[in-house]
Amino acid sequence: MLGCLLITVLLLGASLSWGSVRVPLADVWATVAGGMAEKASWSQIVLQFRLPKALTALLAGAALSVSGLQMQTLFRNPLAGPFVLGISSGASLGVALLLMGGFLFTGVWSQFGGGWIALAASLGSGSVFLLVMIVSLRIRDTMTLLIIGLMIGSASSAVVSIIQYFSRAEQIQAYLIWTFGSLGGLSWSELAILAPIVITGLIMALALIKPLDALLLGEHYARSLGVRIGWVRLGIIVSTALLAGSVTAFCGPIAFLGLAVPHLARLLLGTNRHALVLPASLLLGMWLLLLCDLIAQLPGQDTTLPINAVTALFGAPMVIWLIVRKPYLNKVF
Amino acid sequence: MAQPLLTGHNLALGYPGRPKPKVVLENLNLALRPGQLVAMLGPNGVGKSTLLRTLAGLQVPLSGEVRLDDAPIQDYSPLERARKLSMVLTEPIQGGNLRVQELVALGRFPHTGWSGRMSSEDQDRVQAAIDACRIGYLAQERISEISDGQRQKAMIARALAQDGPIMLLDEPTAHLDLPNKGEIMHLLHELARKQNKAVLVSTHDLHLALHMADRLWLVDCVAPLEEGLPEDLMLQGRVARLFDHPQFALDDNTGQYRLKPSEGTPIQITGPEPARQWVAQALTKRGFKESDQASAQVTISGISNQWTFSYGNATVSTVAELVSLVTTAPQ
Repeated sequence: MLGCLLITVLLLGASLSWGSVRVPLADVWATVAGGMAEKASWSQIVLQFRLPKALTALLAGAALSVSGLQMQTLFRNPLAGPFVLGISSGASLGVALLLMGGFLFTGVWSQFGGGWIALAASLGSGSVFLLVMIVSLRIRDTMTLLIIGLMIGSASSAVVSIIQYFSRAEQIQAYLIWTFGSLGGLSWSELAILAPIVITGLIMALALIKPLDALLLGEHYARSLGVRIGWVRLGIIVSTALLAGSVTAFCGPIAFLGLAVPHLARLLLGTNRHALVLPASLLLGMWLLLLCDLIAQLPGQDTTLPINAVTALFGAPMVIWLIVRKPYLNKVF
Repeated sequence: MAQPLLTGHNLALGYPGRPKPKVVLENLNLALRPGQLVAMLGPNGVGKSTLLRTLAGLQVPLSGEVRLDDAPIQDYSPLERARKLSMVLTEPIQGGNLRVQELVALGRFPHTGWSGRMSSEDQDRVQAAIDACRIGYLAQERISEISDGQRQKAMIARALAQDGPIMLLDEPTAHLDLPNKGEIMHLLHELARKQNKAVLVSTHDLHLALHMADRLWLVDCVAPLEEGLPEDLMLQGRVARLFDHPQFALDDNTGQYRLKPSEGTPIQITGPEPARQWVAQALTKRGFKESDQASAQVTISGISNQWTFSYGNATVSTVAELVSLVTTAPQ
């Protein structure tokens, strides 16, 4: 318990202190505690940029990992992740429509701020989520849901391609930059929207720990144990939509984390029980995303790598490693 | 006789469909009583699994009613139902990372609170279920790393930990070797006896069912369901009727399912049992037919493990030699 807290604080400290401008840890502490750093600009950097960014990393890491875990258990598929229901594709479509479609339809090219992008992404993922939810209420078979989610994803990517085809280079670039993902750029007021949504999603996920365990045996056994499968499935979808949808809206589609972290948690703990794996995924997700952000912030340089590139560079070898360790993957579900 | 725990009244089973529903089985009237192991026999695809699911309240019958403790099963909430009735299904179980102990503990699902925390009573029940199924030595093993027979026992322990008076099992002995089949049926019989459970098992293992079950349900798509003591159903020829087949038939004496005698070269076989019947079986496979009037004659003498078989002037010591003798040199 104490160890977990210590790791979180250490990573937080590192991420507040590191960057293009190095702020000494003592000054970081002084600023966070409400005082002043040696230089006023340091306080400014820590409070206005690094702290919101670090908090975003914590929220996004927890949200993506927990929603990935829920999807893997619901579909009993080790390759499922937070976005299998098409939530990020929906968000991408929303953002593509905003950044490129606006010009396409009206002929007017305008710049959009983060708030607009978040709104467009939420609308996109929200409509996909509504569609998936309606489908989930009508069908009995969870696998059908997975296929429908993938189909919705492909269809929205196709629409995005069409929009790109007819768009100008600078608009495509604006869209591409969004797809790279970014943890920075959230203001405190945006964070005040993201945090309650993520926390609601996490509380829902925690409340679902027991039925998630029952789902490990498959839907039929779960029903024979008294699980109301329709409600549980709905709960999992709503929680995932809140977690993955809100993070994607504000940070863009951050890949791999949601797929890889639950496996890491299971491997470390050697169990599938959600009472252990879910909190572990939450913590590991927070740490890993903070770490990825630190790596993205190439020390001594002004440039930062796109966060999506870093998580994928981390995640891809990890997934390969897991697949090579096949006995483990076979045994998961 | 004890009051029935689970009853079916005029059940018609199947799947709703348009323009008309697909009926699998109809006019079923059934009762499951505590302390009894009931074995359900019937051909593949006749609707045994559908019947089990319907009796478990997981599927609604097309018509008729399932009553649990004399109230319609639909009136129970899923959790209340799960406290009365547990199941072992045919589908392979997954979640291989779970240990046997954790798997059995999942049986306490309908008894624990929202967080799934186990009270000491829950833990006692889990331990009792593990003990009753004699899998204590497996408790810390992962379910992906144990044998099929052991896993099936773990699943039965999980159902037992659910602690309802009724257990429904769909082909629990499928894909198991003979000793494991026997052990599973014996275990279920023991649970019915000692813990006064009502246990319903669907199975294709005719011999074990005849041998271990207290009652048989014979399910056939053409005839109505027949129910009774295995021995009665056997003596009344009803089991034989269920398994009737152009080439195979049930032997009324032994309960063995064997090739019907067909046309063939008549041959007379004399000698002590069991050698006589094994020789007869070997020769039937080669196109011979046992007949008391045949001129061709095999004579067996000897005692257990030391047999001699005579055919014409020759005498041999194995059935293989006898078969080649008979087939190459017809008298």
